[in-house]
Amino acid sequence: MLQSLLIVGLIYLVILISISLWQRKKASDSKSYLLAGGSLGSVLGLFTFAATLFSTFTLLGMPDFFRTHGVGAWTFLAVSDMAMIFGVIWAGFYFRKKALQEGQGNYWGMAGFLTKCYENRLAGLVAFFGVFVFLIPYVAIQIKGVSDFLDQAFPDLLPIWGWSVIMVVVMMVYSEIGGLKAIIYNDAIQGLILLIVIWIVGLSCLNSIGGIEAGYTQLEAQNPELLSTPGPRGLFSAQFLIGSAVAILMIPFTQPQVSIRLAIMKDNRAMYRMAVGVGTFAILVILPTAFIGLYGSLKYPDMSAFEFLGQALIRDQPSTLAAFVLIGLLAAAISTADSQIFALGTEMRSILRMGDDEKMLRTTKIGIGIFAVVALLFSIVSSDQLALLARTSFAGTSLLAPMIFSAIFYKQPEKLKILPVATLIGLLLFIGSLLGVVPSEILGLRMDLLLILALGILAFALIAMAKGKE
Amino acid sequence: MKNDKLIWRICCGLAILLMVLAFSPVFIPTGVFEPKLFGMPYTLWSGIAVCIAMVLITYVATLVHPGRRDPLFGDRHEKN
Repeated sequence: MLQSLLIVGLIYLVILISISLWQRKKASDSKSYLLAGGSLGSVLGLFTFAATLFSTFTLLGMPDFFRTHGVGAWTFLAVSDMAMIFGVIWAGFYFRKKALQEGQGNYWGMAGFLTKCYENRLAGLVAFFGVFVFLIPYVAIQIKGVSDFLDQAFPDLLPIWGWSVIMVVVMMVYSEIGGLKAIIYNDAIQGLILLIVIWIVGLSCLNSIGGIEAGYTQLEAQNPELLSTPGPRGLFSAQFLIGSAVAILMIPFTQPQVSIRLAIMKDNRAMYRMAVGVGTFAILVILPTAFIGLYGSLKYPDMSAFEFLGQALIRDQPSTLAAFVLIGLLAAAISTADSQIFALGTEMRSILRMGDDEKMLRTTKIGIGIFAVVALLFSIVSSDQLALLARTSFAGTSLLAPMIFSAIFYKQPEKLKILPVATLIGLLLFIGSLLGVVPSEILGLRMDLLLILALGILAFALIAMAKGKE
Repeated sequence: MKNDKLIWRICCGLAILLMVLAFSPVFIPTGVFEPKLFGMPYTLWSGIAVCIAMVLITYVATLVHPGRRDPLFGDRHEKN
């Protein structure tokens, strides 16, 4: 299989680097390099949005979620994604309008947008702090997930950190050379690879258990708790699912690698088409993970996550397909991680105070390199709970939502001076609950849900008070 | 134009209703997996149906969105 992987991997690498070199000539200033020229069409938009959204967590985390927690995994991700795409067409219009107005036709990042709207540097710094704290672990788990998996597939070939370093170097080379446009073109290729690979593996798994009907009949006899919520370990409680849905619903506005893609769409028509496309893509990409999970529940119910994934995705597949799976996995991880690291760079640029574009671009590129190294270091020490860590990242950044939506929908957000401070306190409390310093539940309500409710109510109250004074 | 506004509101109402029901015991009943469809347990097949319905609602909503008349919408619309 190593030979197949080397051939497929080399072709993949050549394509990635060629695209970056092609785009390098066009990316001379900040707008072309960081915002891809600000004119993204619906097809490219669909694939880059989808590839950024559906990461290693989809290819590795979701089959394992279906295997160990059952069919509630569909509601956890697919149904939540549907709420998100409707949110994109509903709030996306107002977001683009306000963001492009504030930036005089350009959108440089959420932190910069909030600084302008609130006329307060703290708002931008809080946003940057939130995305930095919750994106770095998310990038790290992508790198770690794939590195652990490659180590399973090729034990003794390289240390786990060696795989991580290769991934980060590939990612940095092509994104530093070609900028966001190169990332977007590569996302399109990576999104397609992910979709094709996951369907081939899903159908192969389904075939080997005798089809959907036979598979679920057997599962009913073996472990009927997997056929309904909350699942055998009780994970998919209504509160967990609702909390996850709220966090996922906010992603297009609270995760900068996604919100920047909304802002740089050519026009609203392209954004709407992209949203419908992403909904369809979500159904198509999540469905085969249910088949792989069903296969795992029947054949490997007691294995650890990585043992099961190594078995189902690699060892049970023909060697050429296994090589494509590995490339698909790399594609999924790289396409999300590079966008996240790049977005962190763009966010940093949006709060920089330098007049010279060339100097800002140079500083941003250095920043992107530093974020990549921090994520690499974090990946070496992070846990392997891919899906749960991803959810924590979504929940963490969703705490920025009341501040962001107030900026989008309220005409005078500069009057809401307390909101950035309250958001900072909320972020610190959530981090405290993750570290065990603060309780993770209060009065039976999860801390993330409680904080977003509290911040939402506060935002409404502040707006009502400000309107009352007008 | 008037119809567009009404259809947009209906789409918003349907999307909200469907999402509320999707996270209620109507679509995720505890410990229940009947009735089945093509062998799939209830939560899975009804969840897939909700997703397809949401994509359709979103598509219709894009055709009647109030922002269609905004200059940001796109050149082609302005020419129409």
